Amino acid sequence: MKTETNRVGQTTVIKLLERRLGADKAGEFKAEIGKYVEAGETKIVLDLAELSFMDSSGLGALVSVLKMIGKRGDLTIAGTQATVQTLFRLTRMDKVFRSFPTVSEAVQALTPQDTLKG
Amino acid sequence: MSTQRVHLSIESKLDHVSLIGVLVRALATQLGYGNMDSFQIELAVVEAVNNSIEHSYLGEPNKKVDVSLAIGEGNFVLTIADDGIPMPSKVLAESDESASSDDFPEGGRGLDIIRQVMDSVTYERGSRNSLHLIKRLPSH
Repeated sequence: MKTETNRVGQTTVIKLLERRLGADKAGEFKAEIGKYVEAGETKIVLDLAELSFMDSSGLGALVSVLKMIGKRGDLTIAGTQATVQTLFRLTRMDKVFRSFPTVSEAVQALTPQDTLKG
Repeated sequence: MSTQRVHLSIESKLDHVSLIGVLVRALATQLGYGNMDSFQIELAVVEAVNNSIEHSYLGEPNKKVDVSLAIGEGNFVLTIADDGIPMPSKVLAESDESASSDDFPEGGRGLDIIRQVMDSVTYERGSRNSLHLIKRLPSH
């Protein structure tokens, strides 16, 4: 599972460098992102711009990461292609995951407003 | 024009499923479906093959999942066949949503997705288990 990680303020931005996230890779993805959560990173942006295909098992892995973070933090999604975004809609997960066109919008959604002002 | 057919077959391994997915999506695009429909047809076939591997064969490798594609009479018909445990009638009868008490389940959404994106979904238990997915061909 190839990823690239950047830190923006308190937020960890993880870019997935894979074209597919299917049932064969779901466990690996969960473990990879889970490492960050276990290390105390609880504000996470997942940049999925490279993904041209994801199935319900891939989406299940995302749900599992969200559950891992729980009330300690939050997760936003950035850059999903329109096709991949329909998977969220078909499973009603568009109500659960906040998804933004760009990484900077996804980061901003996790940043408290007073921090921005200050 | 007579119905055109092609048969694909993979071993029951999850890391082989993308081979079917990629080919089906390319064919769908070639048949004139838009980007969104082609993605959704790939999604449906991948979910169906994953189900065969994970639920019919319980993850056991070295079994066979066959996918046949038929183009004719205005329809694109995808048939996913396996020789494993048949899908329980209960699963077919209920939507996945009502079958789960968890608001955010990590699995069990496949069939629900397939039903939403295809025009017709039928399941046949016989000498083999066959799931037939039909999508109307795009109009020319």
